[in-house]
Amino acid sequence: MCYFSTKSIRYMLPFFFSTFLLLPALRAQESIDLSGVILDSVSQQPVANVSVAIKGVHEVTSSDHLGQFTIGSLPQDATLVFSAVGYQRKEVAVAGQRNLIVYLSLAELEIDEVAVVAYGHQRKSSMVASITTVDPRQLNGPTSNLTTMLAGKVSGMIGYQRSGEPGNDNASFFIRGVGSFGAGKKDPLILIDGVESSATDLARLQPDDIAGFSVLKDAAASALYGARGANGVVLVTTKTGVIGRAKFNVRFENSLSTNTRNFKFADNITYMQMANEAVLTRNPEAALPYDQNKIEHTRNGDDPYLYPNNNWLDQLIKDYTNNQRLNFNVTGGGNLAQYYVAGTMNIDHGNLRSEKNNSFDNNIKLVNYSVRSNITLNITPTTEAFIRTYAQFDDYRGPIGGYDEHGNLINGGQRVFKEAMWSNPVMFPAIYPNSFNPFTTHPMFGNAQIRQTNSMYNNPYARMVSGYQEYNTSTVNVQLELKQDLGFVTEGLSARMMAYTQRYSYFDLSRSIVPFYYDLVHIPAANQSILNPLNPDDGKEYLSYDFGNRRQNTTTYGELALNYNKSVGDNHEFTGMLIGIIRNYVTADGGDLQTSLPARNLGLSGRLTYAYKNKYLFEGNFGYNGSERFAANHRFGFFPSFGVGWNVHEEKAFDFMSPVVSNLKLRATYGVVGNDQIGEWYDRFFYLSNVNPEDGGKGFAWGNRWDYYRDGYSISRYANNDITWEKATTFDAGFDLGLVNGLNVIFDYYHSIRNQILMYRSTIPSSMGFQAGVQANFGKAENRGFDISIDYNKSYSNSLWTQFRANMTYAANKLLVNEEPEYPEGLKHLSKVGQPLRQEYGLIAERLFVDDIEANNSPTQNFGGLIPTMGGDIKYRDINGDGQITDMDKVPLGFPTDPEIVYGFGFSVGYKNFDVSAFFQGSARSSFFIDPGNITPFALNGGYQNGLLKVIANDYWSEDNPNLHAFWPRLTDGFNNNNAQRSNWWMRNGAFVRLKSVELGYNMPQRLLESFKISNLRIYMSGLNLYAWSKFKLWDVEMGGDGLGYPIQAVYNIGINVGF
Amino acid sequence: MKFRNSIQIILATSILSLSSCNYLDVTPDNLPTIDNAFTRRSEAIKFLATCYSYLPNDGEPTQNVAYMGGDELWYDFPAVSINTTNWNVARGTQQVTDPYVNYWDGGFGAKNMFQAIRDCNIFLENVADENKVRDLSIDERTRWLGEVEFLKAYYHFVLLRHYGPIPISDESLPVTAPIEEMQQKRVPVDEAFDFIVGLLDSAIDKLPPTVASPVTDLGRITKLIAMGIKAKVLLYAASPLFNGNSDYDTFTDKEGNALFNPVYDNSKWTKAAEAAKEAIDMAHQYGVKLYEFPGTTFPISETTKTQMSIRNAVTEAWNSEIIWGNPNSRTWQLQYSSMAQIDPNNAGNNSVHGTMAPTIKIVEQFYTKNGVPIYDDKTLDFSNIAQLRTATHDERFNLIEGYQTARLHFDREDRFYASVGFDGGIWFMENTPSLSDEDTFQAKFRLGELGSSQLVTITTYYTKKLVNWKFAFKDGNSNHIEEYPFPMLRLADLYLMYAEALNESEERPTADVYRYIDLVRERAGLKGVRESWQEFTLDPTKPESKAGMREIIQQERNIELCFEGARFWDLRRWKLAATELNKNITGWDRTQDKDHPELFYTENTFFAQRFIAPRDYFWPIKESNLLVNPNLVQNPGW
Repeated sequence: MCYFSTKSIRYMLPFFFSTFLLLPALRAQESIDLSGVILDSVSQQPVANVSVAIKGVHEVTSSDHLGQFTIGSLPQDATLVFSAVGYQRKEVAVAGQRNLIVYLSLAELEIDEVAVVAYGHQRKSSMVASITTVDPRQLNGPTSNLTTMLAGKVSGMIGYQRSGEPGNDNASFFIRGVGSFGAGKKDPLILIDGVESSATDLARLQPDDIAGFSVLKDAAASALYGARGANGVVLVTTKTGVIGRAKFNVRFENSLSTNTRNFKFADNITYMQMANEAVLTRNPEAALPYDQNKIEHTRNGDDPYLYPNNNWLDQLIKDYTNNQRLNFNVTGGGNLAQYYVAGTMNIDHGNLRSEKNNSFDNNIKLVNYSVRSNITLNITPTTEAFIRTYAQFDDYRGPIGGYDEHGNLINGGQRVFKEAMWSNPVMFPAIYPNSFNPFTTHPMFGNAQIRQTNSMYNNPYARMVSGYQEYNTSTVNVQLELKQDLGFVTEGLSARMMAYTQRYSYFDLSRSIVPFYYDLVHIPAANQSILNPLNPDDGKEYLSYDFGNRRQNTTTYGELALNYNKSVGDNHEFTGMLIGIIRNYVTADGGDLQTSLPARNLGLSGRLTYAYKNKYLFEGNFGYNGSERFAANHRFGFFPSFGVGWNVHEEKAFDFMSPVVSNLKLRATYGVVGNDQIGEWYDRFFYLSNVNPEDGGKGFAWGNRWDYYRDGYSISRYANNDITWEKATTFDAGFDLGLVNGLNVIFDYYHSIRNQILMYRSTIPSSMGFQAGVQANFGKAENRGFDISIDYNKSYSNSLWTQFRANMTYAANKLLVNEEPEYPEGLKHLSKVGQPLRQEYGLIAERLFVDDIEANNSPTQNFGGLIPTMGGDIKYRDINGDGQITDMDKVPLGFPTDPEIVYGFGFSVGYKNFDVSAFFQGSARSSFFIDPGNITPFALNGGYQNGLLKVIANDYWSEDNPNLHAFWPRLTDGFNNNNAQRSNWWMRNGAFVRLKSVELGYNMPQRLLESFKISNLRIYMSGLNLYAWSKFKLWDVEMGGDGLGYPIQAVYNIGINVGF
Repeated sequence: MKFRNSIQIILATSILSLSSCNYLDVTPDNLPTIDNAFTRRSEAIKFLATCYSYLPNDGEPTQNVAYMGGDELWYDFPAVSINTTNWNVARGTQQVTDPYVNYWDGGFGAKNMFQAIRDCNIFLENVADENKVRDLSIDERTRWLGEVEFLKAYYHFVLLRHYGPIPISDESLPVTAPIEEMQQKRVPVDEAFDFIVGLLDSAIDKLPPTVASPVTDLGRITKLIAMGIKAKVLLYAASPLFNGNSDYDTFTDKEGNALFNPVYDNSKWTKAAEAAKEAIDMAHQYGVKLYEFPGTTFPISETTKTQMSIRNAVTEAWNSEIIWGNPNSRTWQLQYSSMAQIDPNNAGNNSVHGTMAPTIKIVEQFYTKNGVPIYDDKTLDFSNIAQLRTATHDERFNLIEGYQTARLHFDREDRFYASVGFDGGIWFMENTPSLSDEDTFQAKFRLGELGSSQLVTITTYYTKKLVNWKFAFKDGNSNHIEEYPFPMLRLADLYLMYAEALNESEERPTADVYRYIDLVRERAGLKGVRESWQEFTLDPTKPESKAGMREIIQQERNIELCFEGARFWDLRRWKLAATELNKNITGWDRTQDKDHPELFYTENTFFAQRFIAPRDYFWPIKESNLLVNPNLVQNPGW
C-alpha cells in the first residue's frame, strides 16, 4: 500500500471519472454540451480544481488550471453544484445555457463553514464559543514579520509594535488585553499546527502558507488547554496538499524601508550656547564648557576637523534600505498522497551606514529562510497520516549590541540610535580622513578626553563600525499525526494521535577591533594642527572574537484523542472528544540547577456538544491539567466551561426576518481556565526554596593576606507549598449577525475575573530581614470589554466589487485585590485597587517654579539631591499636605500604558483587473511617559554625553524666557533628578491612527497569460505604515516612551505573484 | 489490524502515565537548601562567612557615610571619579522617600542589617543544635557561636547608631508567621543597649582572646575585639545623645512608651570606663601596643619616623595597634581617592584621582608643634592663616624648602604633616627616588605645577594619611595600591575612649585620664597635656577641670582619628553636630596659577552646612516602611 507514484495517480484519475462517475449522465435525455470558466469573484482569477457536480447526482468533473471545464450530455434543466476548498459552495441552474461564467466567493463570507478550534475543527454554525477567525490573506503585507499585521485586524487582540529593527521587531499582542499583573506569562498560547510556538515563530509565518487562523478568546474556547489557556490561544493551521497536478505559486517582493519618524537635533551652535547656559544658569561662577572662539569657528565651518559639527543621526543612519522577500509553494498529489511544500526567504537590511575602510559590513542584515513540507498519506481507506516538517532559520549580522539606560542588553541597531542621542556632537569628528596621516593602517576615529578625567567620549560612529555581531537560530519541527476512523467499532468514532518534537538553537558571537582614537590639536605658534593619538597602546587593528550566548531547547509533545460524532434522527447531533496530552521541555541554558530541570505538562481534556435541530446548541468542556511547578497537592487543576447558543434564524417564528437577516446567532459561555506560567521564569518550583550555596556576594575573606576566602549562602526564594494556579473565570456573551445584503457583524461582550494571581507580599516589614520576597496567590483582577467586527461585501456588476471591514477591541482591566498596606485616610490615593493593571503612578506637576524664592518656600522637593531645586524646575503638588514631596504624593496618572482600545478599518475596491485596498489601524486610551533622563541635554554618563533635541532648544525655561509651561524645565549641566521624577509633565497620549497598509494591484488578463501557461499573475504595489495621525511628534508614537530605539519602518513595496 | 493494536498500546500507556503523578515530579531530592549549610563544617563555615559578609564596608568612602556625610571632607560638584550620592547627607538633602545610607532596608552603599541579623539568627539557631554540623568540635562550635553573637550585636549597634530606637530581632521568624508578629515595634534605646551589651557579654565568654592562626583567621572576631566594641557601645550609651537627652522627651511609640530615657545617669560613664579599661588591659596582655615605625633600609629623620608611625598605625595591615581590622574592606577606592600626583617621573600619570578634600576647619584643628590648638598657642601667631611664608631648610622634612605657602602650614604638629597633603608639603613614600627623606616627593598643587594638569581637590588638601606609603605610580598610566584591612578599632581609639569615659565618670580628671591621652600624644611626638597647656597657653589650668579636659579629649580624638570615620559619629554622640555642622565649608582657590600664591591662598566658601537639630541626629526611616508596619514610628522631624 505504501508504494505509489504521481504517475499512477494521473492514470487512475481519468479512469476513475470516466468509468464510474460519468456513467449515469449517459442516460439523460435532451442533453446539451456545456463549457464554462470559474472565476474568483474578487480577484477575477480562474479557480482551478473546483469540483463540478450535477445536483442530486455526483461529481462529474473539475476545473483545470485555467478554471475551465466542459460537461457533455447534460440535461437542460440540470443544476450544477460548484465546490472548492476555500470557496463558498455555489449552485447554478443550467437553464439551457451553453457557456457559463461562474463566480465563486471566498469561504470567509460563508456562514456554514468550519473554524479551527481547540484540537480540531467545528462548524461555525454550531459553535458557541467566542472565536475570531481571520482570513490569512488579510494578514498579507510587505513585511517579513506577521505579528506586526495583527493589531486592528484581529478582533479581540490588543497589540502594539515598539521597534522596527530587523530581528527585533515583533509586535506585542495580548488577547483581550492583559488580564494578570503577576510576573508570569501574559501573552497568548500560540499553536501552529498544534505545535507550541514562540512569537518569533508566528512572526516568520507566511500568510500564503496559512490555511486557518483562529483566536480563542473565551473560556469555552480555550478550556481544553486548561493550564495554559488563560491568556487566550492563537491557533494556526497550515495548508495541506490538494489532489491534482502540481500547482506552483511564487511571490516576490522588493521593498524600500525607511524610518517612519526620526527624532531631530538642534544645530550645534545652539548646542554649545545652551550647554554654556546650562552651566551658568545653575552656577554663575562655573567654568564654561565651550568658549566663544570654538563657537565662532564652528559657525563659520572653516575647519570641520578642528571644530567638529556632527549630526550623529545623519552620520549613522541612512535614509532608506532595500529588502527582498521570496515565497514559493507547490501543492499537488494523488489519492494516496498529497503534498504542500513551501519555501521562504526574506532578506531584511538595517538603515545603518557602513565604513568603507572596513572589510566587514556592520549594517544589519537578517536573512531568514524556512522550508515547510506537509505530506498527507491515505494509508488505508480509514487511516490518514500527516507528516509535517518545518524548519526555520535566521542568520543575522549587525552591529554589536550593548546596554540601555536600565542596564538591559539591547540589540545593535537599537544601540546605534540611542548612541546617536547620547554622544557629544562637537568635541570630535567621526573620523579623520587618511590624508592626515597617510601611513596609518587603520581608520583614525575622532575623540577627546573628558575634562578632569582620563576617559574619552563615546564616538558612536567608531562604536558602530568597529565590529559586528552574528547570530544564527534554527527551529526544526517534525510532526506526525494519525487519524483513524473507528467506524468499524461504532459509527462516528475516530481516533487521532499527534506527536511532535521541536528543536531550537541559537548562538551569537561578535568580532571587533578596538578603534584608534585621535584628537586634532591646534598649535598656534606653528599655525598647524597635528593629530594626537589618544590610545596608541589600547587600539587594535586586528579583529578579536567574543564568545556570545548559546541557547538550546527541546520540546517533545504527544496527544491522543478520541472523537465521536453521532446524529440521532434529524434533530439530535452529538459530538464528543476526549484528549490526553503530555509535554516535556528542556533547556540547556537555565543558568542554575532548578531552571535546568525539565518543564512538564500532563493533561486530560474533553468536549461534548449537542445541537437540537441546529437551533439550540450546548457545549461543555473541561481540562484537567498538571504542571510540574507546584507542590504535589496543587499539581493538578480542573478547568470546566460550558456554553449555549441559539440560531435564531432557524426558528420558524423568526421567518419574517429572512428577507433581511440571513443569520442570527446568540451565544453565551462561562468557564474557568488556568495559567501555570506564573511568577518569574526562573521561579520554577514554588514548593522548594532556592538557595545559592556558593554566593560570592555573601562570602568573606579572612587571613593575614585575606586569602582564606569562603563563599556564602544566599536565598532567592522561600519554599511555599501553597502556591498554585492562576485562574481566569470568564463570561462571554455575543451574537453573530448576517444580513442578506452582505453585512456581517460579530459582537462579543466579556467579563473575566482573574484570581489567585501570584504576587509578592508587600506587607512584610523589611525588619524581618527576608532576602527574597514572599509570594502568594493573592491578587485578583477584573477584565471586561467587548470586541466587534463588521464586514460588508457588495458586487455591483461583474467588474466592480467592494469590500469594507472594521473591527474594534475594547479591553479594560482593573485590579480588585492587591497586597498593599492599609492606607490611612489621606493616603488612599496610593492604593492600586480599582486601578487598571498597567496604570502608572507619579507626581502631579503643576508648572515650573517662577523663581528660587518660590522653590524655597514650597513643600520640600529633595529629589534633586545635590542639585538644589530652583526657579524653572518642575513644581509638584503636595497631595498629602505634609510639607514635602515624596512617594506618598504619587497618584494614578493618565491611561494605562497598554492601549485599552485597538481598532482597524479598511476597504478594498476592485474594478476589472485592478484592485485597491487600504487599511487603517489605531489605538486609543493609553498613556506613555517620555524618559527625560534619556534626552536630558548635555548630561554626561560615562563617555556618553547627550545631544540636544530640537524640541528642547525650541521650548525651554530660561531666565530670558521664563515660560512656566515650557517643554523643558530649567537647564542643568547633567541629570536633574527633580525634573526627571515620573510625573504628568512627561506624560503623553498614546492614541494614534495609522494608515497601516495600502495596496494597488493589477491582475493580468487571462488571455494574455494563456500562451505562457500561467494561471495567474498579479503585480502590485503596497505600502506599510505610511502615515500616522497623532499629537505626538517627537518620534513614532507607537514606540511609546522608548523613542530612542530603532524606529518603526515605513515600507514601499512592489511585488509579483505568479501561479502556474 | 496491526495499526489498531498500536493505537491500543499508545492509549494504554498514556492513560497509565496520566494516572501517575511521578511524571510531573521533576525535582531531584538533593537540591540545595539552607539545611545543607548545617550538615558539615566545611559548609557551615560558608554560612559563617555569610554572617560576616554584612560587616559594613567602612573602608569604602562611597559607602561609609562618615566620609561623605560630615564636615571633614568635601568633594567636587559634579563629582569626578567617585560616586558622591551619599554626600547628600552632608549637604542636608537627606529625604524620606529613599533615604541615603539606608541600613534599615539596605541601599546607597549600606548593607541590609536586618538581613544580616536574620542570617545570624539562623546560624545561631542551627549551630547551637549539636545534632547539626556533627563534625564541628565543641571548642570550635563555641567559638563560632561567640563570633556570630558578636556580629548580631554589632549589626544591632549599627542600626542603633543610625536610628536610635530599633526593633530587636532575637529569632528568625518563619515566612509563614502571622503578620501581626512580624510588625515589630521599636524598643527604647536603653533596652536596645542592654540587649547589645548582653549579647556581647555572651560572646566574650565564648571567644578566644586572639586568633591562633593568623594566616587563616586574622579578621575573625576575638574576645579582645568584642571587649573593645563593648567599650564603644557603652561609650555611646553614656554619651549625651543617648544619656538623658531631653530633646526626645516627647518621642514615644504608638502606645505612648517613651523611647528615650530623659534622666541622665552618670553610672553609664562608669560602666563605659570600666569596659574600656578591661579591654585595654586585655590588649596589653596580648601584646597590642601603639604602633612605632621601625625604620627602613635607609636612614630617615626622627620627624619622618614619627610621621610614619602615625601613618602606618592606620595603613599598615595588621600592625601592632590594630585590634579589629576588616579584611573584606580593603581601602582600594579610599586610597585612589586620597592620592595626589606627586611623582615627577610619572608626571602624566593620571591613574588615580584624589578627590577627598579635607576642609580648612579640619586643617585648623590640628595642634601646633607645641601640642596645643593653633589659636591658643601663646608663642605662635595664627591670626592670619593665609599669610605667605617661605619654608626654611630646617623645615625641609615637612615643607618644600624655599617654597612659599600659607602660614597655616607652618609650625604644626607631626600629625598634621602625616595626615594632610597640602600645597608646599613633603609627601614621603617608600619609593622616594632619593632613597632618603631629603629631596623626596613634593606636593605642589597650584595650577601649572607638577601634578596639576588635572584640577586638584576642591579645597586643595588631600587625605594623605589614608594612603599606604607603598603606593607607587607605574608606567603605562597605572599604579600600585597597597591594600590594607580597614581599621575598625585600634588601640589609640580605645585609650581615648577610656580617657573620655573616665573623665566624665569622676568629679575631676584622675591620673589615668592624663596617662592615656598622653600616651597617644607621645607617639605623635607631643608632650603631655598638662605640660603643654602649662607652657604654651594662656589657659594653663584648662586640663585641671572636667569640662576643660572634655574639650581637650574631644579635640585629641578628632585629630588622632581624623579621616578614619570617627568625627562624624563623635559629633553626634557629643551632641555637638548642631554647632559644628552649621558652619561654612571652606578651602583655598585651586583655580589660581602657580605664580599667584597670594590669590591661591584665598579662603573660598563652598557651602554653608545646615544641621537641623534634633532631626538630623538620627536617620529617617524610609516612609514606605511606616505604611507597611503600622507599629513603627518615624524619627522626630522627618
